[in-house]
Amino acid sequence: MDIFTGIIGGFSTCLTPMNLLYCFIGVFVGTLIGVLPGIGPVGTISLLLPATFHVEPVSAIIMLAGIYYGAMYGGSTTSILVNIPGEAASVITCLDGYQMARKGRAGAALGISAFGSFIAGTIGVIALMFLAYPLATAALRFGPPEYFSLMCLGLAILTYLAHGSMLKALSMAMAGMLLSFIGLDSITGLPRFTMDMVHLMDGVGLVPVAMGLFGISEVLINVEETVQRDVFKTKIKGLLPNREEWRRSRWPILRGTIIGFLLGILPGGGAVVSSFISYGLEKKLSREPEKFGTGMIEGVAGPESANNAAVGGAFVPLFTLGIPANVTMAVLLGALMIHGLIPGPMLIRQAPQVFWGTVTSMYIGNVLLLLLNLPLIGLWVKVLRIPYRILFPLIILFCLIGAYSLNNTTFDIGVMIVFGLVGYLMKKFQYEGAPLLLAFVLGPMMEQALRQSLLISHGSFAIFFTRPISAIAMGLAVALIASYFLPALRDKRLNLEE
Amino acid sequence: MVGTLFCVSALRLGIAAPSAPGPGLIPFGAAALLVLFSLGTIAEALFTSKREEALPAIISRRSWAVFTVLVVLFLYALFMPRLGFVVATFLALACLFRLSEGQTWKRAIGASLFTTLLTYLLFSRLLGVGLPQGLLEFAGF
Repeated sequence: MDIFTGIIGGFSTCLTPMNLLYCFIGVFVGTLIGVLPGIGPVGTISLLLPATFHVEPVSAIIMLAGIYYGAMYGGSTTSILVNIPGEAASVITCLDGYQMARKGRAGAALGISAFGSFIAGTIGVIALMFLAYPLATAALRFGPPEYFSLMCLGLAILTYLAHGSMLKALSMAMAGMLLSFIGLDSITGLPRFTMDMVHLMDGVGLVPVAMGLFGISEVLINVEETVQRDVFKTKIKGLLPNREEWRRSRWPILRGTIIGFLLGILPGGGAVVSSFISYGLEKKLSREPEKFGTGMIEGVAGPESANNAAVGGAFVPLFTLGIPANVTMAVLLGALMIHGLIPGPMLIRQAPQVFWGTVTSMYIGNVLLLLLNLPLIGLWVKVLRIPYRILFPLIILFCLIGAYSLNNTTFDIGVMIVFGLVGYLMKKFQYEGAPLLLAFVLGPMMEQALRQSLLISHGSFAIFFTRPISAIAMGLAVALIASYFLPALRDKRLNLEE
Repeated sequence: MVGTLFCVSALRLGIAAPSAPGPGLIPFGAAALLVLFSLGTIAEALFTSKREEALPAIISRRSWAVFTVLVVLFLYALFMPRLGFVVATFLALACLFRLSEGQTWKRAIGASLFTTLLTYLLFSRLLGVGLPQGLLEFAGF
């Protein structure tokens, strides 16, 4: 199947009434949770995953992907109107978006954010289509050593980019990996670390762990903090940016798209990092850098485009190599596997309707998001006014039902609560959840690839350094981790973080 | 501590040799690295000049709210199979709504009843999720 046949097939899959409905539900829920601070796409995808068990895999993935890119659109609304980012990827939009709103240009900020997101999202999807197919074909030649090294690189980048101490991030990655080993060994069938508990024979479930770490823990933090949200009171008008604003935004949108897509492909980077880099670049290129932070439209257009383009980029390693670039993709990888699909280079050949159907649904999803975000802005502002004291019991309730409905057992609820507490304590002690969850998903794949590699090489670890692709990936991974232990480079990383 | 426990358990599983990896080999490696990185974190905290921002207070004025939510959730997980979804959810939600600032018991009970029935209808009747009936089995809930 060539690319164009795939695209036509993809549209015929995603344009069926049922898949259109799932796409709409996905982007609607995505925008909703993007607007609402307190629950992100990881928690929501985990929450809705059990609800997709009875639907076609392609419909499920279309909906779950819609939540992810929908959240990127919705996240900017709270940044602009409340000065509180709905999503981590929209943190930087607060700086100039909120200032624009204070100056009476909330409509233009929301408008350029939606149009920028639409343009970047669409270009990102086009790039994904044309890059994924040849990359997947090339990836067919990859063996276990290449896969192991690429997964090591992914974890190394994620821990390198983690906030705060890299040692803490590395500890979390190892903890996640150990957690993934609980259950029956895939080769010998021996139970490992199960403490003779029947429930642990199948291992610890991804959904309760993700919901605990990213759903319940977030609720606990918010219950403790009681953040006040003062929604901007002025009437929002003029959602279409004027000619001058378009002129100033067109290059930031294009640059943000390129940065976002390329960084989205890299494991560990993604939407958050690309939005920060885009902002930094726009500030550097501007003739009036001192005005950034006072309501410059470039500071909204660039980052918002970057975080949406990053979504398209993040799907590249997932669909072509079966390696998730970030935590949301890790949960989507879990979703693919639960639906009996094997993510990786064979996915495009064995389940073309899933790959092309999902990719083309993103075009439709981007159009739907533009329609949802501009004319319905009043609705999202009303949603923003819902007090958190009403929201949090509902979030908890949906988490409880989601965890229970996995296997109809309260054991999963218990796992979710335990990880909620663990996630809460991790936030308090500044440990990040992302390396833990990514390693948890990658753990079994890494173990299998490592064992196969060692069998091939008769126990020699040199195999990872003698094959070119593996050597480059492993070399980069080692260099990134080693850089933390060199004082000069560590200072550079901390400066970058600041 | 966790790393050491995993190390010991992995050794018991058998690590064999790199040329024929046993079920404990890779977990042992990961656990050993966890111990190493944890010791590194402790050393970093003790011996280096910290550039990280100060940690937020572990115990705050509203820590009791976090504790209450956790207790409610644990009790929910413990008693839900026996009490049934409707009764357990109603009780848990009433407590959680009451936890919110400015909510009276009357409003909390009303909101809890409404939410419980709505979610029961949505998940059990509409989406077909099998939720335990418990005490209300006789009434068909």
